[in-house]
Amino acid sequence: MGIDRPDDDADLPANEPADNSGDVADTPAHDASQARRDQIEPRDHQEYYDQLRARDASGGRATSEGADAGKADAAVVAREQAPSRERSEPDPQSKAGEPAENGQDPQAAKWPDNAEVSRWMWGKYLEKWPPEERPPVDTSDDPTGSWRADSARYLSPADNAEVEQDCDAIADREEKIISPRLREVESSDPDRRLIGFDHRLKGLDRVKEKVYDDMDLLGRSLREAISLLPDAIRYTFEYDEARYAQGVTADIARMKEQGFKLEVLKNFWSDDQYKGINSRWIEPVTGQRFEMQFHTSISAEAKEITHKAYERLRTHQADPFEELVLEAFQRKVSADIPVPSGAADISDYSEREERHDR
Amino acid sequence: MTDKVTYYAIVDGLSSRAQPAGVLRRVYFESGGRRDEAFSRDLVWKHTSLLVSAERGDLQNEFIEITEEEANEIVERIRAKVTGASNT
Repeated sequence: MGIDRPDDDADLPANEPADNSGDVADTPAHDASQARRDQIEPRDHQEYYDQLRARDASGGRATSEGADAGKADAAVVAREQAPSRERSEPDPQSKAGEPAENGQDPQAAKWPDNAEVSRWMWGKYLEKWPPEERPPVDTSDDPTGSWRADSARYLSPADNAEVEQDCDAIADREEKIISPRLREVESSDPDRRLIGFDHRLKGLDRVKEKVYDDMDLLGRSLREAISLLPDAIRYTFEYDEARYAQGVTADIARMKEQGFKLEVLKNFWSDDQYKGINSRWIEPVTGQRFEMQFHTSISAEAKEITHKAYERLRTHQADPFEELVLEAFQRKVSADIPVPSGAADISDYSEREERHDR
Repeated sequence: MTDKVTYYAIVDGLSSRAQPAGVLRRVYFESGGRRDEAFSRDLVWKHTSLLVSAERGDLQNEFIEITEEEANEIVERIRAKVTGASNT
């Protein structure tokens, strides 16, 4: 088919990690960010904040001593080398979503620091709950051709083969019908773009998880479960914050002009675990559903930072304490995201409710 | 020891608020933490991440908070459908 469908970042349509996307890896800021991510933070949180404060007090020069501290401060150095607009001081009088005197939302100005702290926190999480210590899924008794996510979620060889065949058909519809029209929508405005396009097809493992859940928990047939998948194909538009609300509204209209039908739109900007707007669409001729997410660069990056936490929460393997930590981490990252002006005014939509009200 | 249980009707693209496809309960523990469970076609409550996914932006299902009595009605409807013992 010639279509990339990675399984390891199954639910990550936006700013996926740099090792599997060209969309964000080509900027210096992202390179610095990746370097920070790849580094294991040796300091505890008190040392970390003490050194940050000392650095700020000394006008930006790191005061750590010793080779290890110097190595650890690569993140601080990377931040100092970031564009100066990322380090501008916020105006304490400004409200969220409103520009400070220097023209930038104060919360947006804080984002690089906040993102850095969030990545450091995730490093600490990984130290406490190392992924390599998790028990592997036991598939030793499963027949060849079957699929298993964990002790409960399992597809027989026949069901597994059918899901994969249907996914090939979905990929064909994506390639021939949906993506070309969305590229047309994209071309109508040079100020925003589709990001994560290489990952527009959901990973097979995640598709199978969803199909299994629909069959087991909602009583759907395999074919129904496949047809109900809203995000086997998913796209993300990324906007500048200042143009977000206007851009989303315009792109929804453009997608309708392309013949796509909006089924559901949900505004998550006031939620605490995730921020952005997600929408579910259908291509009426084929009946193929797909998802469009509307993000700013910051909300897309936040989604990437928290993606592994979300994946872990979905596994059913974390104990209640670990789940609390994972959810707290998602809330922390989400709370740092500036809400673009006018975003909260974009209303939810449900075609079902519209039909019911008529 | 559970502190509180919240119930949700699960509505997908082939069901309705009047006839939900399934039912989910979120159990909060006094000791902290919580657990989401959905009533499966095996007629047992199973750990699920459906609601966690919805909170993270997944639009596949709609979750409508309901009372325990309403949840029990959905459980009985699923049980009747699976066992073929319809009481309607």
